[in-house]
Amino acid sequence: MTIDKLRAAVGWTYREREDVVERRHLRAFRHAIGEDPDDETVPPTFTACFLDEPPPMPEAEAYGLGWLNGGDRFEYHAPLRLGDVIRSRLRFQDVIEKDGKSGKMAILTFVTEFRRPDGELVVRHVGTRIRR
Amino acid sequence: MKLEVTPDLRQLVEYAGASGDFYDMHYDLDFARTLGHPDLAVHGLLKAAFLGRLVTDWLGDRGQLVWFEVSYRGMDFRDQPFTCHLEADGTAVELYGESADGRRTTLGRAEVAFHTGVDT
Repeated sequence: MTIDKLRAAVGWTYREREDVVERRHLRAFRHAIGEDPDDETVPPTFTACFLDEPPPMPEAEAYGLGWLNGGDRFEYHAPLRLGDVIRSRLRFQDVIEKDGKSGKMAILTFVTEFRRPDGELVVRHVGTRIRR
Repeated sequence: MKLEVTPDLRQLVEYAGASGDFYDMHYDLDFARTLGHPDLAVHGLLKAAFLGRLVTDWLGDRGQLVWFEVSYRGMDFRDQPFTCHLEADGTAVELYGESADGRRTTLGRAEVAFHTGVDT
């Protein structure tokens, strides 16, 4: 697979998701990151649970052997609380190819906006994902 | 300010389940080795969550996060200490995560907004 097929896939989006910040899920997440599960504050990386990871994009899976995570950015626009309903759709925004120590790698950027059903933006996430 | 954690396989599996990220390299050692990794790597987003804990502990109820970003420069593996560090200058927060051998494998930054009247 050449980088060209990945470049041609820029703009790809995955299915729209609708998720709810559920008590049992929030407890499990807080426990998994070492926080008090009885506290109902939503941690700053919680919306990562509403991402499809690794991104299920066939053009990416056909490049290289496996995934690495390059980085994550979260922009906070409105508070996220227990019980909130959130809609999102993963979007493939950009790709560049680099020569690394172990050969070529593709660095992919995915952007996801997490919005309430009325359209209010809550969190914008930018994920840098690597195939090599 | 710092936070030291040592994620074990159980915690990696708990994070996989809670986050929904079941990429095999975090719990299947044979799979990880086919990718050339010596052991099971800690999810980048779990390291981000540890740095996030440090930011929210430091910030408390004095304000809110505007943005938070993490860049993964090196891998960390299970059963190894991972130490998160925080330095704040006004509303700008610098973070890094350090592996047992002193490598800064994880770099983070955040911007916060303090509530009106909060003494920073």
